Amino acid sequence: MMDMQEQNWIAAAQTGDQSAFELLVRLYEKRVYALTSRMCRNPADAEEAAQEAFLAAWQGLPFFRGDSSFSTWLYRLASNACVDVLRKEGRHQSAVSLDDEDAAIDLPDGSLSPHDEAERSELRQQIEEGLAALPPDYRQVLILRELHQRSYDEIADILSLDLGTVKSRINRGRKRLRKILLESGNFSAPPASKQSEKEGCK
Amino acid sequence: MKYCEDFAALLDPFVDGELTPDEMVRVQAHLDQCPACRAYVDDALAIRAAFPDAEDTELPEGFIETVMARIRAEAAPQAEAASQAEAVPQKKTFRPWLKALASLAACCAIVLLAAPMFSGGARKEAPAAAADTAASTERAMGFALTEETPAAESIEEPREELAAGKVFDAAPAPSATADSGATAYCIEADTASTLTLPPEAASLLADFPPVEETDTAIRYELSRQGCDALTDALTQAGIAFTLDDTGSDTVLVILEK
Repeated sequence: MMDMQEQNWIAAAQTGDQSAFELLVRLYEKRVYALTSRMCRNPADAEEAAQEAFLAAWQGLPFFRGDSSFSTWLYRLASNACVDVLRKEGRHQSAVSLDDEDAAIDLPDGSLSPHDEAERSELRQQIEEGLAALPPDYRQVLILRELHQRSYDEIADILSLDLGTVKSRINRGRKRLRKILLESGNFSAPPASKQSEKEGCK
Repeated sequence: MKYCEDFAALLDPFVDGELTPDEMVRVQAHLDQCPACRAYVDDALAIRAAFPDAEDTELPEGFIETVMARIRAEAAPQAEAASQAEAVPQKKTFRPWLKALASLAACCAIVLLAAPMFSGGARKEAPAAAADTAASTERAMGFALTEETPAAESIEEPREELAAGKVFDAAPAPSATADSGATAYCIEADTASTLTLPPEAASLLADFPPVEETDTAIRYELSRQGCDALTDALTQAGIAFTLDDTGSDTVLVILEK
């Protein structure tokens, strides 16, 4: 999934080339920040975690083996950074209050904002198609969680479900999406996940 | 695997930031040991990163400028970093493996210190060589090993961190004898963990700068974190290895030829 240009930047950054690394930051900054803001949910924490993720990437580049996916490695650093930030803050991240207009959203019907076709990466395309193929129950919760950044409690509220149902729909939605992406050949699954199409070690 | 069923239900809340900080840490530790759970979380994160509108995320102002400024400050050579540390406010986070790498620099310095001593080289050049080696090791690695202090002082700093701290006594002393040089080397070998690898592991070590090469083996020194990542990769590749773990912060890796 990594293109040649990205691989060149990585190789250069590994030798200490800061401008190459800056190109990588530009390439991934929005995705990493999207990631941390959906995990930390407090914008200040999300920003700090995203910064720390890139710093850790810079410092850890000598240890990065080129054979595994750079994005996977970077996203792991991002989630580690979130854990570090949350641990430092020492408080449970409850939902951040959003604007009033966000509070009164229509139930998502699965239609998403249009993207410039040329710019959409293949994976993004596959996810959009995968989402469209999901049962509406699963799609709804995933969109509320990923797009609208709602907490489990808020989702339960919006959809009049209990917490357990929200959790299990998110879980099943992710598993189903994962399966679709693996089957469509777009997800380059690490060897480990092939033996566990379900999550966990069951 | 009963053990893992405890964590299966925690993976989504983990990814969604719904756990307490302590629970987050627990799950994260589990992920380091469980490839299946790791894969699920990796995939959930990949889905999130490629989700529609993730690329429309509005970044905080000056995000990339701040990141690059911190990187420039960290990558600056030791002498300059000392003066820049005040100019660019740095957020200090706890990075134990940075200190391990500082001790790695010192260990490299000592190994190379011991070598000329062993063959009876000039002793008074030794401390300068130690500082130079530490600095060039850092440059070779492409980033600063300590955040602000010059190389000579950085050898002092990790002394408190390590059980093998007594190794560093040998480094700054200009009157170190060949015996103590040899002793220093032996102490380092005794207290450092050792990872012995067969020749087929060579490709996994391609990114690491070797410390020494003999007729029978190539030696590397890794931090604990680097060693963990390496043994992870070895297991996944099905390559056998022998790890003699003394709990030290640095690991001596011996790649057999």
